[in-house]
Amino acid sequence: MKPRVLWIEDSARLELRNLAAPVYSSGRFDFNLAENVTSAVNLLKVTSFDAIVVDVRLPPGVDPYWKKLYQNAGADKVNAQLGIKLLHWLINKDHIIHPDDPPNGFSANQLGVFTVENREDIQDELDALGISVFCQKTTGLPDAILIKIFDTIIDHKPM
Amino acid sequence: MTDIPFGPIVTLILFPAVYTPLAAPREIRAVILKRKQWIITALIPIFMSFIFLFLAMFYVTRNTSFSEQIWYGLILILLLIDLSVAIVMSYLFNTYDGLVQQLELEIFSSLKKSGKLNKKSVSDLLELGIKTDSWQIRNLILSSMTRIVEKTCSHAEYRGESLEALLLRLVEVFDADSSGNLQNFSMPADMIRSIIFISKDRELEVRDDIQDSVRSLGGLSQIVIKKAESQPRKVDEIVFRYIDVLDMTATLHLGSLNQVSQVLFEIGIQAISNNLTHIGFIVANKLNMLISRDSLPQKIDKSLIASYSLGIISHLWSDNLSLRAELTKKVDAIIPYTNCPIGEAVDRSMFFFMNIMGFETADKLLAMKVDLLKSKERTHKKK
Amino acid sequence: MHPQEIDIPFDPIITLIVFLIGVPALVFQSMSPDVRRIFFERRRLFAFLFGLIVFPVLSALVVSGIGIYTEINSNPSAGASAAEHAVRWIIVLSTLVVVILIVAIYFPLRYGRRQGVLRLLEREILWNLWLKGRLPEEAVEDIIDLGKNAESPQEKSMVLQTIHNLVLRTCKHRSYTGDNLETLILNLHEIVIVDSQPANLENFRMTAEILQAIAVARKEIQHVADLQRTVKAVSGLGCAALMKFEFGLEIDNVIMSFIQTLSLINYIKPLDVIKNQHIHVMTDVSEALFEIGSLAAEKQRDFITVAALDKLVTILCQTPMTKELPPHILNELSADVMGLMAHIWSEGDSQKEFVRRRMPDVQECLGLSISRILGKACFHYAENSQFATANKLAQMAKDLKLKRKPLNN
Repeated sequence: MKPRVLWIEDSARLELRNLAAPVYSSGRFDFNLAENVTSAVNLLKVTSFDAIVVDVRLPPGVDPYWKKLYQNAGADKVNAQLGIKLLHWLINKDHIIHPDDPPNGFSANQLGVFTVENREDIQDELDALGISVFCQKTTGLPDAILIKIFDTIIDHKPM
Repeated sequence: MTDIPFGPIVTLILFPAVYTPLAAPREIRAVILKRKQWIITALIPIFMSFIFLFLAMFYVTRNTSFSEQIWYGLILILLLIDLSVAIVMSYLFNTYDGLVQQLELEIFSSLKKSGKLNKKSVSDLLELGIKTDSWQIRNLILSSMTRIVEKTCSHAEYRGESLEALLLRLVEVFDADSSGNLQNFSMPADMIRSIIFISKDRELEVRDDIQDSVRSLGGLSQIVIKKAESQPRKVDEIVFRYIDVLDMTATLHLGSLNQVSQVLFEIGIQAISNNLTHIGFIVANKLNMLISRDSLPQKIDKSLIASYSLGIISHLWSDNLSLRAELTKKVDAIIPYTNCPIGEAVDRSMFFFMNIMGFETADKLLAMKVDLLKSKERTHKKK
Repeated sequence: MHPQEIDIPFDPIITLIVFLIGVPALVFQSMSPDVRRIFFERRRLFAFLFGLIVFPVLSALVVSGIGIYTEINSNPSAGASAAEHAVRWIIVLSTLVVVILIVAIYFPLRYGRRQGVLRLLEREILWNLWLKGRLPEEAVEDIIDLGKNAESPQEKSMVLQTIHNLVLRTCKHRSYTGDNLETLILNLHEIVIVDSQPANLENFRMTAEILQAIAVARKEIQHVADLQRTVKAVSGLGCAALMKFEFGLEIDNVIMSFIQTLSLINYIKPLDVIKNQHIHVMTDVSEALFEIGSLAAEKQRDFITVAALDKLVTILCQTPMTKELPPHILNELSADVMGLMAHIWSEGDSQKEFVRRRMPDVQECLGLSISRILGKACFHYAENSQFATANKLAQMAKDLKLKRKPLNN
């Protein structure tokens, strides 16, 4: 069985094709993509994943609760940091974030963060969540960066 | 009491409340009703009318001999108030000028307060631009957008990631234009140029706004190129301007180099498939210039730019036998930057495109490689 | 008091009341035709609206009546001055003016906009859901109509947001059996695909999320009818998105959201509970992926094609039940995979190389030779009169029989 992986990314501007296509091309993963928090939660509700890579700046999707969180932060992805909130909800089962129960069976070592933020900016959050896999999105990244991140999470290595 | 001509007075007093929602044209009514200002604008003249009514009543009770004249005077004043309401409302809520100005004010006020754009107002502004059939109105809206961009970028708290709401949907405003008129297409170039220059002046990193700008220029180029049949010269002029802005972006913001190369490649492919070979050729030149720039720091990976450059050359190669000598020179110029022999360089580029599902380009690269190697072999044998 | 001494300002009272009756009519004129139609054609709302017209008029009459009554009963001999008379009528007439202003401003704000009607309909539907456990067809159709006729993407998005809320509430309702959302699912495409309006990517994305919400509904559902409809809707909307949008900044992402919805349906656990029906949903999902993938191949949207193929291969090779599947189902699944591979194959040499790299997975999973798999798939399509795909498969089989020429020679 191929490892089932999920990339939660609003890839409006970082070309989706350049980063996701090599994952499909490799044929090594059962690769899934969610481009907002609602879609990600839908996927997480129905199946488990060997590795999940999350962006910090995510749009909420249509779910009213995530939407409210987003609007409370001034409808601004940078301020809302829904990616971090999603992780807190999943790992710490924080019901203040969302009243529903999060899907079970998630641990920090299945998760990685791939975002434009500097590591220093979110290090406290990463420590609180126990996430050790982090990669900053910059323009000169190799095409196979996502494959590398998935491999790192699956092999339980830090990054 | 019965002498008071209440019928006309009441009608005149209530006129602003009924006039405003009904007078707005259908296409902008939704945007108007969303904004509560029209209620205030309608209520102010009503209150003024009431004040005049009470004043009239006061004078009538004091001076009964002139009561009829006072009432006629009041009706005249109310008529004047309604007339000014009709004029003001027609401007504010009945024309695009007024509405655009109002939206702009809303956006500026949120910018002043929070340093961020009011997304709803921006969306309404874009919506007006998408819906309108007239290029003049679109011009009005784009001018307003240019002012918004300049003001946002000049804001003290601007960090290069405030214009997403505006830039990502800019393409839709142009895509909705079915008139074939290219009058407004040069405006985004100026808009984006200001983002690039201001970001450079303030030494901002390459963040969302520059990336969105680059992508918007790519999307806009594709729309313009599709209109090449009707106005080839104008299309050339606009696309060249976009290419220049892209070049400038890559020069001033090195972090955008890869993205600029990708967008240039996409413009080139689209141009070639629309028989605008000269644009494809200019794109190939630009990519060659980008890779060969002395100012590029060593740490920058040039293989990606080389791949895009070889990719565009392969598209030109397959359709233009007459250009092949010139294109061979271009390939030769790129090879030193790839640090490998020509066959391997083309192979790498081919696998890059296969990896990102650019199958058509990969095919063309393969064909070009076969031709190039044969030609090199022939030259070698002759020697 | 003699009647001739009574000084009642009938003229302004009548003018104001006539005005009050006329204002809602004027407001109706300013509504868009579809919103007006919903008001007039739906009796419940009409009654509600009727109340809103009658209530202000009645209150105006009552206020005027009180004024008239006190005027008649006032005793001039008790020192009732002209000032008192003026104050009384100023109060009465001002109240009437205020009522008119409320009607003239409140009406267009509350009901003149799509949002207002939408809220009314949503409340009506939720009330029905609470009472009877099902959605009232007529109101749902009205919501679809409101979405269809909405002029701007924001208005459509408002309608879609309401539909999403309704879907969530319905799916969470104890009486939801998995077969209650037919009208909504089958008509969802009418909101986002209107020939006279430019399509909006964000609206398409929202439909994908609505369909996902249906797909991940409660696990104890008894039927898969809504799920099957969802698959059809996803397929239709995915293909429509491919046809509608030639370029744009986020097209691939949006079409991917449809592919991802299909993938999500395939993961759903409760389907295991109803195994027989699960099999049919699996083939529906596979067929939908084939449809989107082959259209994308035709439009040279390689990324979408490859993503669809990847999902198809996953369904065929990774579902734990693959080995238990009845042969005819397995045939269908493998035919979809091979069919899409043939479409990709026919596009060019690089595509051929890509397909060659992915073929061993299929071969390993089915335990058959490629020529056999291709032959079966070809037969399947010919039998279903899908000759274009059958031809591509035959060509692919023919090409594969020729000596393989490595790509990087």
